Amino acid sequence: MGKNRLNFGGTKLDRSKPVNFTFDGKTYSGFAGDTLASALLANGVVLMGRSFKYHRPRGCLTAGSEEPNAIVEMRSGPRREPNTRATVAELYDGLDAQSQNRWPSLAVDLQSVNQLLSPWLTAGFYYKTFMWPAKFWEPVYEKFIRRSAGLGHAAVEADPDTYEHAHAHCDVLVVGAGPAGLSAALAAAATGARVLIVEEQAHVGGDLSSTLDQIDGKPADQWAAEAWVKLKALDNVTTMTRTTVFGYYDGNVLAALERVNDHLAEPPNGQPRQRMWNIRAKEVALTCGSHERALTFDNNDRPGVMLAGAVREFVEGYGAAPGKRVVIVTNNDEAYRTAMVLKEAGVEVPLIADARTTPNAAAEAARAAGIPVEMGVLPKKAVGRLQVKAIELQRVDGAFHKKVECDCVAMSSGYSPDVHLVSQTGVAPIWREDILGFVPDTPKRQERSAGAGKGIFDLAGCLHDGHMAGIDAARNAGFEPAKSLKASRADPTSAVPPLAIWRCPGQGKAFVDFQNDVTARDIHLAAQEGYVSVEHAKRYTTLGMATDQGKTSNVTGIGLLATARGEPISDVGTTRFRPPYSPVAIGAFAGHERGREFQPVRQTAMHSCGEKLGAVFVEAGLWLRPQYYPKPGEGVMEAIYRESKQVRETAGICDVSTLGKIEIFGPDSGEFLNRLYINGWKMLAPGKARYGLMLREDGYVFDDGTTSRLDDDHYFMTTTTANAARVLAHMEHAAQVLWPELDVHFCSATEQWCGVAVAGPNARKVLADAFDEALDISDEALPFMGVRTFSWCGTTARIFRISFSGELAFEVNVPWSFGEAMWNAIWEAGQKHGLIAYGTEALSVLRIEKGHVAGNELDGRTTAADMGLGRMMSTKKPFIGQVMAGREGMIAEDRATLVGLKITESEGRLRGGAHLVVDKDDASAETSLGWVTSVCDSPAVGCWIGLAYLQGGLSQHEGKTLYAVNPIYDEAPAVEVCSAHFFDPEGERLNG
Amino acid sequence: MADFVPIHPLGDPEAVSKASSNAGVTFDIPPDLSMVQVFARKGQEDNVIRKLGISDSPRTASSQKSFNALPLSPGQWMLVGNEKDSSKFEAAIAKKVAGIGYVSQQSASRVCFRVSGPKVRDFMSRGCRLDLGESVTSKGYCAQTPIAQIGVLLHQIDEAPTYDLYVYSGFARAFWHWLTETAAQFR
Repeated sequence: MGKNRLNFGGTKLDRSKPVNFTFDGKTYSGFAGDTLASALLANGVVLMGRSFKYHRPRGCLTAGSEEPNAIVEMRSGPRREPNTRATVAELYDGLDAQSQNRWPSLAVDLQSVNQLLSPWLTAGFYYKTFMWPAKFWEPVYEKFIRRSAGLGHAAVEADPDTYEHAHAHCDVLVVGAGPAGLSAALAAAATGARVLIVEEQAHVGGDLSSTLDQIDGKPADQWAAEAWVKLKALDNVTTMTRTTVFGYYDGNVLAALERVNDHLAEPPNGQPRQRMWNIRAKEVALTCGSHERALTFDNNDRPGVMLAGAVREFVEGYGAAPGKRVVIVTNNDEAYRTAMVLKEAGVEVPLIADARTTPNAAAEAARAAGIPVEMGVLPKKAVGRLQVKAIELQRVDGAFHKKVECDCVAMSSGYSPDVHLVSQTGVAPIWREDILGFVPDTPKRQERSAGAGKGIFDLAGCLHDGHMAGIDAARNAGFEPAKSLKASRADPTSAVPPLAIWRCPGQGKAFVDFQNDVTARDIHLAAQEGYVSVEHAKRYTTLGMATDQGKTSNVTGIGLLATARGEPISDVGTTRFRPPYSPVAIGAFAGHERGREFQPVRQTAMHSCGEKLGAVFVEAGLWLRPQYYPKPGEGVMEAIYRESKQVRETAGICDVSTLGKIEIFGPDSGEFLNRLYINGWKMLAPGKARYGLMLREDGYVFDDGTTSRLDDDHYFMTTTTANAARVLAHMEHAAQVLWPELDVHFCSATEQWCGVAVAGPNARKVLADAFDEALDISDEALPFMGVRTFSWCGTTARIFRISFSGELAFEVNVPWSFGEAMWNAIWEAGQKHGLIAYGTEALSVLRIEKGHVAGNELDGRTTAADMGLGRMMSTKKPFIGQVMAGREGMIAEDRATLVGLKITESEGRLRGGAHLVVDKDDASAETSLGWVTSVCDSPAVGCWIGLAYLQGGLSQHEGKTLYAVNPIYDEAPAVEVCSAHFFDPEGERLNG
Repeated sequence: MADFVPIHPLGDPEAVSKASSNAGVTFDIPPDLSMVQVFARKGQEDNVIRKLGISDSPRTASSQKSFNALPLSPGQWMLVGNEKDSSKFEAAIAKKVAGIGYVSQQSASRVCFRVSGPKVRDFMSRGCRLDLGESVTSKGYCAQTPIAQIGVLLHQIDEAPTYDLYVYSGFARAFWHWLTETAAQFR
């Protein structure tokens, strides 16, 4: 057992379970239920960290999530986690923690030399120091600042743990399970409302674990434990511990982080480390409690100087004495509770120094218990370096009073209601001079605050206020309480108001924000230099930033700013708090969506067929498509060349399942298509397919594809893979909003039908063998642009005689579940006809050779005429985009239009994105005549070819030599401008 | 000609039973479901509802002897039948709505994952943003919502509760991956 472990207290401990842990390489022992901070204190370790700027030695200031000082690195290897609050980290066997921001050791930190520079390291130091000379900024200053910035070291390896998101819904959300929260939850639950109560710590009851008070005639912590058991047993209540509500968003959506397995070395198999909750609450009761403030006196940051409430919590909750001789300095009644607890635990309290001069009952009670109390006395300076050794005290007039030896100082400057979440909703907290705290103003959402979070600090008041908040929340959610419903009771107490002291007189370093090393002098300096707005002062001094978000420091800082401005605190106001309330790991935000699961993968029905043939897959949106099928020893370029050559010589099969497919029904389908596409559709006969082009409303090309008429009132549209969902949404908009009078209906069929393209001179033979008597694919039965439905293997199949490659080609669709079977049937039948599989790259080569446009050419900046498809635009009917396509700029003669390019050099290659210029030595944005969209090494043409948009187009440049300049690769090959129809311009090969 | 059979949506017919043993969450992929999307023609919504004997509620599925009708949007339903022969099912429904509606064959477009077990509500909360609380939804509840970034047609088929989650076939394996990864904590 540690030397400072008490036999007293320890309500949060399981003393039957000893736990070993290491801190900075040294092994200690504690108990299950300890935090790292309480276990260190129990072992007599007070020094836990170094401060950010001055590297001053620090111990823990608090016992909770507001901790600014005791920030450590936990775990090691891929689980290493810097900036963990020792006051939050629950002890587990084998816990390994390191102090951070020190070198070579925590006790001897050479960087504490920064303290000598402190006259220059004041507020606004960066802005003042790194101004001149300007040329030093990048090479010197930035490097220096980056090296100095940040605390701890993140893990380099990937985090082996998992994180997840979850969603919760409730009528009443209660944030915080202290006395007010428990009371609110009990009341709301009794109405039958669905209640969710969320507690940040592993234990419920908040402050009740460290009080000697009674509720309903029993010890307060026992009441809390029983209330929790009761709530857990109710069907309409969900309870969560180790869960911090960190954000309050629009629509009464709140975010919470559940530390599911942070209290274990590793999450058990299958369980996440942390879980992020999205909570949708009809009504919210904010019972978040309050945060104690530090008194601002010289060296108030010395290890062993801590908040009075924290001392009480360590003693009562964890049975750990922060010291053997504890002086209490306070401006309020609450700190007396600490004195009484210490006294009961057998810890010496040589003195309570109360800044107030008015007599009060708390002081009388302390004196009666034998604790010396002196009124009108303030702390002046803490003595000691690595741990406080004594406290110098002064009179309120600044006269030296006396020095008292001690190894711990418990200080209190009053309590600040925790208004973070309510402030996030846009409510500006209002100042209450009587309690020296900001409290929530009128709610803007479906929420109400209760208890200490609203400035009610006595136990009886918290219980009653929580109860009323629970009833109010439930009632607003539509649940009426029974008249007999009563709140739990505690004895009423009366407190003498605290005395406002924002700076105990002194000349040394008196810290306001411990985490950012912001002193009282820094605040004064900021005001002096004109940063008088609270938001400006925050940014200038860094007050209230970082992991603790100023929970212990903001109000003191505002008090000092008000003093400097000579105005009341109510005129200064608070900064607006922002999420997150306390640190949230990026992993929790990412949840399941990381690595390969960043987005879901969409696979075609024939994915495994591609895998078997060794396909290399490429992402096309969420889809994975076979890009090419390399043979052993074959490079990517060779594979693409071979595949595209072979298709034109024998036959190839390509998985085209990813094309968007839309079934269209209704008597007005033809009219609907007429208005969607630029070309006419009313004359398309059943059993025929047609190529169509759609424009956006602004007249630019949107998408293209073939649409077939399967029956009088049944069409089947295909879209590009990329635009499938967009086209469907476009059609929904048209049908629902633009032309609701049309009797037309449609739905996606992309995954009902999977498809292959079979292309090449042998395509007909391959399919004839594959489908045998099921299908007649003679030219008479299935002419070019013909469509047939046939029965195969007991299912319905569709065949389309369409060609993207310019070869004799067919696309065959079968239901998704038959995809693999179809591929295998065609593959087997095709082997004697030289069938090969080809991927998206060869598909692209084949279409470039034919001058067919695809995604690269449909880039959202081109018109139908730019693509050479201007004549498709019907003048006999209106269609989407028609009017806007006629704008001056859209039909200007100098628009870049589609041309073909052939490289004229034997070496080198073409690249997409290159710009076309007349003089390669005068290449600039001004001299660019156009750009290259698609390129390939063409087997059919015998050289690198490309498609390009060129000002003046073919009519002005045909046969001319230009240069395709690519500054990234420092290339400028000469190219000849030609027709985009490189291969078989007459289309004879379509007939096989 | 070989007698081809449809492939299993996960490529591994035993995957489901392997993942469901001793678990707080159990999975099933009901075989032999036929699905068709039914559209009511302009002004014929009430007639289609009457003809098929289905509910006009936008949130509630209705059960007939041979199918469940899941509402998709005004005048559109997904009809799911326990019928191995999807063409037969399509023809039967098409006959019922002839002249007043249209039918699109969708049997292969989606895979139905049936999820149940004592921890299923907790499990669903991990990915589903909808409020599936006991006091909120009951048998017949039907919705379309993303789960794990994948569009899902959700149908609560009993009070156990058991949920049928329909996802597009291309996402079946990705969705299965999410289902089993997330369910691991409930073993």
